[in-house]
Amino acid sequence: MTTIVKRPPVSQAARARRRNTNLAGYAFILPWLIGLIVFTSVPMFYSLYLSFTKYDALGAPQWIGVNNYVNMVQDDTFWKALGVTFKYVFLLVPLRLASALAVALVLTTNHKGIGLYRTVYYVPSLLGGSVAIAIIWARIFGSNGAFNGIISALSGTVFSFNWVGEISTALYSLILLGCWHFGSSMLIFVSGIKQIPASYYEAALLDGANPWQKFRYITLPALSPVIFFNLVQGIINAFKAFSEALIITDGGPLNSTMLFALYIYKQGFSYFKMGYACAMSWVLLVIISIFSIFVFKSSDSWVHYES
Amino acid sequence: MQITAKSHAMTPKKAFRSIRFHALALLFGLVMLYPLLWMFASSLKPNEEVFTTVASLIPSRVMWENYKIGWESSGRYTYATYFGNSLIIAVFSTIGGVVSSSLVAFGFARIPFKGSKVFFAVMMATMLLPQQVLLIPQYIMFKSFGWINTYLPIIVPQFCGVPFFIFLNMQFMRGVPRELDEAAEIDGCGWFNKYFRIMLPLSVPSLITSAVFAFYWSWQEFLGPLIYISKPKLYPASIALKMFSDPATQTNWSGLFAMTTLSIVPVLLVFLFLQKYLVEGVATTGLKG
Amino acid sequence: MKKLLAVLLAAMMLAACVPALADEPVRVAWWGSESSNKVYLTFSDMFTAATGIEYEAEYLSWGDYWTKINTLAAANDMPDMVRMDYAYIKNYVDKGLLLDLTPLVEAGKINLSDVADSAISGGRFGDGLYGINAGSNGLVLAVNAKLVADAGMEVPTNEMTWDEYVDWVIAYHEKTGLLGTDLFNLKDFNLYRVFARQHGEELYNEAQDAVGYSLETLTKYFSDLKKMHDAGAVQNVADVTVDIGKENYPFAKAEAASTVTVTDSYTTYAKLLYDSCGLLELRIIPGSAETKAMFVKPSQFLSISANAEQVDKAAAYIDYWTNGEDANLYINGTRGIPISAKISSLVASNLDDISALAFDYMQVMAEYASDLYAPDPVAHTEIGDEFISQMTSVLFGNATPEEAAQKLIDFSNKALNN
Repeated sequence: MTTIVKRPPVSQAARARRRNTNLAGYAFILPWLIGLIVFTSVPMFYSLYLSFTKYDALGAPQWIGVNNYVNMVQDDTFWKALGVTFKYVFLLVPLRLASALAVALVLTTNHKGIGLYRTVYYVPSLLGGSVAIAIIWARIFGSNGAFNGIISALSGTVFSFNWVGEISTALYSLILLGCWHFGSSMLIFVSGIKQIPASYYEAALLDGANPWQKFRYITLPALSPVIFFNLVQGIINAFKAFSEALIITDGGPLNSTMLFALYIYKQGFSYFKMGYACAMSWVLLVIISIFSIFVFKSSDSWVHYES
Repeated sequence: MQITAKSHAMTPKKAFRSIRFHALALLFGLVMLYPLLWMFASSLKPNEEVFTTVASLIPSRVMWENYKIGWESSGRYTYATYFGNSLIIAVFSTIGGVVSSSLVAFGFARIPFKGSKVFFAVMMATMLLPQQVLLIPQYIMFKSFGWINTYLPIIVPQFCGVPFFIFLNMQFMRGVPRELDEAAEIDGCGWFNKYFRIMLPLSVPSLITSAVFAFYWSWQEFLGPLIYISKPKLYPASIALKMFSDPATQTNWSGLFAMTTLSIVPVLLVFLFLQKYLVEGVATTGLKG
Repeated sequence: MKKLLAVLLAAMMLAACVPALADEPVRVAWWGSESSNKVYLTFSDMFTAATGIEYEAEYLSWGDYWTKINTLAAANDMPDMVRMDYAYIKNYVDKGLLLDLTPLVEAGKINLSDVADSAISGGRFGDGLYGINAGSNGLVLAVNAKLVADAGMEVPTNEMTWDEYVDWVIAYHEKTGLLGTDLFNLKDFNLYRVFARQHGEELYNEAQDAVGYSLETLTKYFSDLKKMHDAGAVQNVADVTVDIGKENYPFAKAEAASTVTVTDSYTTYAKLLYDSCGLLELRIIPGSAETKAMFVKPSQFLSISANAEQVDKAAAYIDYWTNGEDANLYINGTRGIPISAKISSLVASNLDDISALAFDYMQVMAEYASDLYAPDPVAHTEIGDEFISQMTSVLFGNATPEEAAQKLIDFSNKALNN
């Protein structure tokens, strides 16, 4: 995944160069190293420690060994939340990625007013998890919301299905909300496409390539590092998503929108089970790691870096 | 793609396709914008009308007062204070996040130093823990630094690089032809020169993208300020906005919508300002270095 | 790099300009929305004007307040005066985070001479007094008398039984097509608490290691809700997933004839409905008359944190809340009936129609009330969430009332022993 270290012949000059290279590398990542040591590592390890304790934030943590992890196995809501989260991730990530890429491709063509469209499609992402979004979504997908209004008008019958409120559809309404926020990924794709050297396409033009071929053999490979980035980030963010579910459905009805990170939040701050919340967080870390490693491993075969 | 479109004159077929393109793009834009239009319309309605005339996008009378009332908040501090605080947080966080992330990204993406793979994996891992379980340890830590009731706990870590932006910049840097580096090497350039003279000019798109996101994220950052800031005069808008709704009594919805609408404006302006540079892309800004 | 450092320094100086004062103000904290913030800020200004004590306010919305206070408690950094809720105070007392106010009361720094003991007993744990009741409230059945009269029906009396009420709700719906009552408020776990008390039971047993009600009681409650729901006399259960505020509840829009609520929140409905429907009528929760199942509850507590630096100033603040005449005339009973008898009658003589009704109701209700329930165990929040889950499950038709009741009991017993 990172650059391959070539093994140079061992000479004095080469060794000095190696040392310089190492020094330069550490110098560049120094800000991050400092941050890791000063700001990140301590809270992270502390949360790992807390995961082996009973800790309600108000009293001192009490060591209870692996009890939190054992309790998790017997916790129905834990499994439910895990299932809901997997469904959320597997639907949202590909959908958002595909729509972001498709729109980005269209928005890098040469039409007038492209900048305006780009803005229009990006603006919804700025609403994030604000309080206002809860009411907007309830208004659009509630029993007498705009969505039912459209269906009623098209079908000619009165339709009053509560899309956010019913067990069968509540999660999909949140997935749709996630897709509506495709703007950020789109923006990253746009900059990725913009960075592809024009000379590549000029060469293709000489070869008489059609648009599909250009997309398949130039855009896609050249964009693959960025696609890879959006995929990895999409997975991480989707696994950690919770504010929309908290604000709109609060995990209901019947835990059908109980995303894993929301459950962690509730355990930690509503139920005073910070130790348990930490344990679940570390389980989440392991789960996301497994997926990320898988994606990273697969990237060798489809991500093309300049070399 | 760009080339084909440029090299032909406007034929009737082209004109038709152009119209079709704009019709579809506008329709899609309308669907995307409907929720926001609804919010904006509601911000101009009298509060009691927000839910009685739900379907209507046109207020019976336009109430710009909602903005004034919402702006005044609880009277002690107005949104001038809250937005001002958000701006301080966002500007410094953006500068810190963008600058340091680019440096770190170059280290990871281009310099084959010992242990880079391990450090990179560690960096990815730090992104995976949910922020909510780190709050208490972080609070205790920043308290020991004496940083409570300042913006330092929010801003300073940004100067240590943000994994998301580091990774983003890395992916863009890896798309830059390596021959450029090698050419520089022949010129006898060290790593710092390579970064400042070659990579930096070439990574404008990812820097801009990072800046757009950094500004937005720190603008709407909520959990950090909630924990580290206790004085209402230091609250950013993200916290103030949550105090409109009240489960026990009535909510000033039109005020909430008005201030939420306003809170989008600065982020939008930053985006509009930066996207100019984004559009130009590397083809015109780079490759000369 | 130099530039970067300069910017960093600038940021530090900008953010760190919090001057250290020699005479520290008292830190006071509360939860609230814009409107309650205004009330509390004005109150605090009156406090400063009356006593010369400067204050520093810290306020957040309800959910955020608790996230924050938990974190501050973990770091031993709580504000001097904190507002506490009856649902959480016990946990804070158990962990030694609140100060025993008894010495302050004995020293006259918090004057409770006009306060009946029953009004402050809710804040007593063991031998200590850990919170002063900010004002008393209670559950109430609010009835839209105009809607009921339009349907040619009678407003329930205080003597109405629970079963009669369920029938009344359904009958109203069948006559008018409107709703008999509001499901948003039926979800309230405290309503079920009253229901259990009607059967001589409580939510938890005395040791708080198991539930205090029987399977039959909960099954009956779930069945009655289901009966009203399936008859269409309350809104569809899917419509209560997203809660977007009281003004959107059917009762607030004159689409439901009655609702269960708390006396503090009653005024919100009353104001919304006053123009179209006139005054509401207030009744005790049906079925509570004979069993005296009602209770008078502290709306919230004013407490002093154990790590407080300004104990005397915080005590003065609480004293002013309790005994300040101008301040209470300004607050006007909106945070419950003032606990001081003197203040209470002063306020009562100055009320508008809407608030007067709540004051009168509280006096009537007290006759149907018995002892306040013991403070809830820590697991109560979690159990309350599960209660809603199981209730929802019954109404969606995913479980029978008995299955759901059994599940809730099993869940509760496990959570209580964790």
